[in-house]
Amino acid sequence: MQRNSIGKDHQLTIRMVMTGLMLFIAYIALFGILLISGLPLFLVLGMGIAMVFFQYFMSDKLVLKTTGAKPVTAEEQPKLHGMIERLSQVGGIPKPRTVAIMDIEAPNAFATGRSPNHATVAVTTGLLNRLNDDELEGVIGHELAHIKNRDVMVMTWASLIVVIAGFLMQMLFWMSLFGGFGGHRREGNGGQAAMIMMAVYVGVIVIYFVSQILISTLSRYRELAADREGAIMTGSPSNLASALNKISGQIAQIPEKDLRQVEHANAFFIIPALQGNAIASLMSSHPKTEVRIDRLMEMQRQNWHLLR
Amino acid sequence: MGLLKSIFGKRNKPKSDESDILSAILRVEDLTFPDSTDKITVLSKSALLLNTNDDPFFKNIDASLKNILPEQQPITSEVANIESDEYDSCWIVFENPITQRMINDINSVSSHIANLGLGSTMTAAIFKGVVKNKPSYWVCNYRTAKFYPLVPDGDRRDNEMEIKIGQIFTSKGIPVEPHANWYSLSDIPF
Repeated sequence: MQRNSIGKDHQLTIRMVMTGLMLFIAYIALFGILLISGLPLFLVLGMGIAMVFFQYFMSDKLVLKTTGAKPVTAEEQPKLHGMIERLSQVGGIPKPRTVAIMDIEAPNAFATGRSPNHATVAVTTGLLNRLNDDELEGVIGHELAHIKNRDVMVMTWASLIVVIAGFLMQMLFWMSLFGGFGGHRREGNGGQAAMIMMAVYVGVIVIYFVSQILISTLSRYRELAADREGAIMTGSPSNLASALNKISGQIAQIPEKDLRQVEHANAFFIIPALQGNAIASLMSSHPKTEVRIDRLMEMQRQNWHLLR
Repeated sequence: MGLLKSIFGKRNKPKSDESDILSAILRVEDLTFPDSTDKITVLSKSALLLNTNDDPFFKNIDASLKNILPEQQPITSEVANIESDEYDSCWIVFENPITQRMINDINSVSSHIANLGLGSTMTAAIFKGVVKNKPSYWVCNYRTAKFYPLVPDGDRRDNEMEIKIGQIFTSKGIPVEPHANWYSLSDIPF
């Protein structure tokens, strides 16, 4: 397996292109089905695009609202702002408009916004408390790489097919409930129409699930690409590898709460470890942490910094 | 005594006999890390952490301790106590160069407190140790009768080291808490 060219991972690029091609085929199949079925193509398409547009333009505000992330100023968080500003310069993107913090113990971070000019980077207090400066830089680099790679745009538009297929699934479900599949049996060809609509329904369901898998696959590849891009920004792949090691797996389960606080609250929570399985990993939006760490450490082993 | 208490005995009774559980720490008293020459050492200090619940017993704990400990079973450790901390918890600190004797003393005090019906106030026994020249603590949670390591690192914790120590504990047959119960303890007074 060759990944010698440091700024690029050709194998990863080929995989992303292949996934994109398969998504394109899924789109064509869906439109084909729509045309055959005689369903209102433009209505369905229009609604899907409207929903995706809404998501695309409102993503930053929506995410901030739903996660409870609070924007912080450079005066409040000078270290975090300074780090983001410096890495943005290295990455050749404008500093994200909003830097936010979520008061959550679980270590995590995200980037959102439709373009580098409308970007938001948010981190949890758990992340700030657990990681040292180098590791935090690794995570920020990864999030800025998402912004640089315009991943919000890519993934939002890629998911249009799932939105449309999902909408169609619901529409066909309600039609089947209210007898729409059968047509008018007295006219003689109601049975045939019902068969066609059943086939359309099954086709849409298949496309929906295949597209979900393809989008999750694409998302995992985008994550790996952001790991690589972020590592190049910070100049040290091992920083992100070390951060990933801390924020996922065993270390992430260790609570920050004081034993006496828990004792007073009289609550001992035992959180079961998440068990992975094949289906879950297929639908997962992120690659396995071990895979990410292995790739980053492989970058670290190469004299890649000489080629920056 | 309430009906339930009379039927089921004391509430929140520790799951098993602490005298056996605490002695498990002797298995890592002077141990070398499997992958290096670094050592885990148990020091001569430990503590019993109690949640006072505003019980009058803890108002003057010095006198209270003297009253409950019988003369024929003397405590060989030096005992100091912190009346209460910011969490309204009480620390009874033991110091003894012989770990086994220190454990016996903790058990003795624990069982006397439990006999007074205050078993539910006992939160944990905490032993002080050193790992790779870092002060470390092994916490035995009295609710679950299991141990976990606590390695302070400035204002934070060295979670990686804690996980390594947890693995060593497990390999030595010491019952270890699930990671989700490895709660922090700030400002440990010994």
